[in-house]
Amino acid sequence: MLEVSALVSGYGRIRVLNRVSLAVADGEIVCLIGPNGAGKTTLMRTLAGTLAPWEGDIRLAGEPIAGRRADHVVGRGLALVPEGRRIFMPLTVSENLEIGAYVRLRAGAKAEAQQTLDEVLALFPRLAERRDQLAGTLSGGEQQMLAIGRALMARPRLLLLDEPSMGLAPMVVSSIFKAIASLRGRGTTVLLAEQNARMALKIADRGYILITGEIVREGAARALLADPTIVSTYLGH
Amino acid sequence: MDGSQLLQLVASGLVTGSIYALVALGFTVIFKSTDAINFAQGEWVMAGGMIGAFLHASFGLAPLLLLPVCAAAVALIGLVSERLAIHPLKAPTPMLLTLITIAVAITTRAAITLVLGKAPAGLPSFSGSENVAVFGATLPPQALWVFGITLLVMIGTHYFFQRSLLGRAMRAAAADREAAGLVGINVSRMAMWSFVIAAAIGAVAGLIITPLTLTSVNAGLMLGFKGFSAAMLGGLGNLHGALLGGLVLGLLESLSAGLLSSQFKDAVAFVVLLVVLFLRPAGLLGRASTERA
Ligand SMILES: Nc1ncnc2c1ncn2[C@@H]1O[C@H](COP(=O)(O)OP(=O)(O)O)[C@@H](O)[C@H]1O
Ligand SMILES: [Mg+2]
Repeated sequence: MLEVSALVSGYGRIRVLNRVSLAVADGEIVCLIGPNGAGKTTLMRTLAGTLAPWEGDIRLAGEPIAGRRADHVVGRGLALVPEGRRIFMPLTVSENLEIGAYVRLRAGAKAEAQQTLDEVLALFPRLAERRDQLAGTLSGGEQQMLAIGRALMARPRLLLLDEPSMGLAPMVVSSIFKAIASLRGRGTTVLLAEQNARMALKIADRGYILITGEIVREGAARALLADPTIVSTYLGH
Repeated sequence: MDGSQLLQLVASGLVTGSIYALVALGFTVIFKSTDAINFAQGEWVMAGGMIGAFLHASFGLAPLLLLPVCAAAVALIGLVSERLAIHPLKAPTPMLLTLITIAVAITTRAAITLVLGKAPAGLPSFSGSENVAVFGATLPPQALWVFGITLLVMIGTHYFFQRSLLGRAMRAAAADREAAGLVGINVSRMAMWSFVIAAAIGAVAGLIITPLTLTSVNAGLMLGFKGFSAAMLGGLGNLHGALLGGLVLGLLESLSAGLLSSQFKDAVAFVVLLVVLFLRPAGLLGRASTERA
């Protein structure tokens, strides 16, 4: 589904990602673990096209997408739930979800978008209850659900999530992770960036560990969780 | 001063106020999508009136038919301006955009002067010539056209932004550009549409006021300034604020001219602008600027 090779990216003259390579197979949930400042967000933004890579290759289902702008990339089937949620605060919950399907609605796929909306509301019933509320009035957890729901409205083949647990209470995090794990059954492939390593590795098939812009380890999620040196060195707690 | 004279002042204040409201609406549409103040807005109002007067004089186009024609012509001016002067920018900060709109304003005025000349131009009323009595005030029939068309444009713009996919996409892009890109919205295209819409609205304002006031290539500066003051008064970036600010400014002008002296008329907008900037920079309906995400 996704193949990244020797990706270099950064801001201005600051090089953040140093030849990052990784792959996500169809139907997998892969997590990208790393401490604050490791470059997770930079990688996610470069994949989604809000940041242009300096070097390297990104292929989505074989198609090169490196350097394509975000509004093009989402049409190719890659949607990002950005760090900090970034929902449209002055718009209602339904409007946020509708706009999530922007590319499909422009192509005239109204009925299909409605069907996806029903699925998203079934996944997050809280959003259905708050449909007509302004997004800015939602709680943090609900905002994260909305951000995920909005990305799902594009019916992506590959969903990227950037620290969905950030700033949320543990109970809320576990319900959100449950929803992410349930995507596996729907044929959505997932790449999840997290500092919350244990939780992420528990729902993932495989994991990569990113430290200061470089992938330092990769492996099956279970193996990474079981490795005591990894847990103590990179994952803290 | 008796009651009927007061009513007369209120009525004429609301007519001018409607025009200010439309000009303010143009400022608001572009500010919402780019955070920039569009100094070309007044020139687009002028262009609408000038092009309308020209088409009427040269080809006898009926005033009502001029509405869509002038709106389209000036929308095209807005479109070309955005594509040539704004779109190519690598890092379009609001300050840079605002400065560029000054250049757009000057260019637009020069182009209209070159093609249509400097002479004042007028248009007949859209219908009739007999004054009509409304609630005790006597109004020219064009005043009713001004009210009606302003109302239609306001409602149409409101529904466009609330209900249509493009309108919602424009609001989304205004709220968070990067997130808008992530859902597939071409953000620079949204800025382009805001220029097109604001230009069309400006043209309508210029066209419907010309039968009452005449117009000339120099009319844009003052109309733009008044509209900007109205937008600031109502809260820049707020559609309802544009309507409220326009009407209030029109009323203040008319009442101060009637009750004090007509010399104060143009000073009112300056005073209003200064008072708003000092006391309530977010405007009557605006939220405090710190809340703007
Ligand atoms: N907009 C930016 N401009 C300059 N440097 C940035 C910017 N965003 C992040 N960085 C730097 O890039 C590095 C990686 O940041 P980031 O990708 O946000 O890491 P993570 O998401 O893993 O916490 C950090 O050193 C950070 O300071
Ligand atoms: Mg991050």
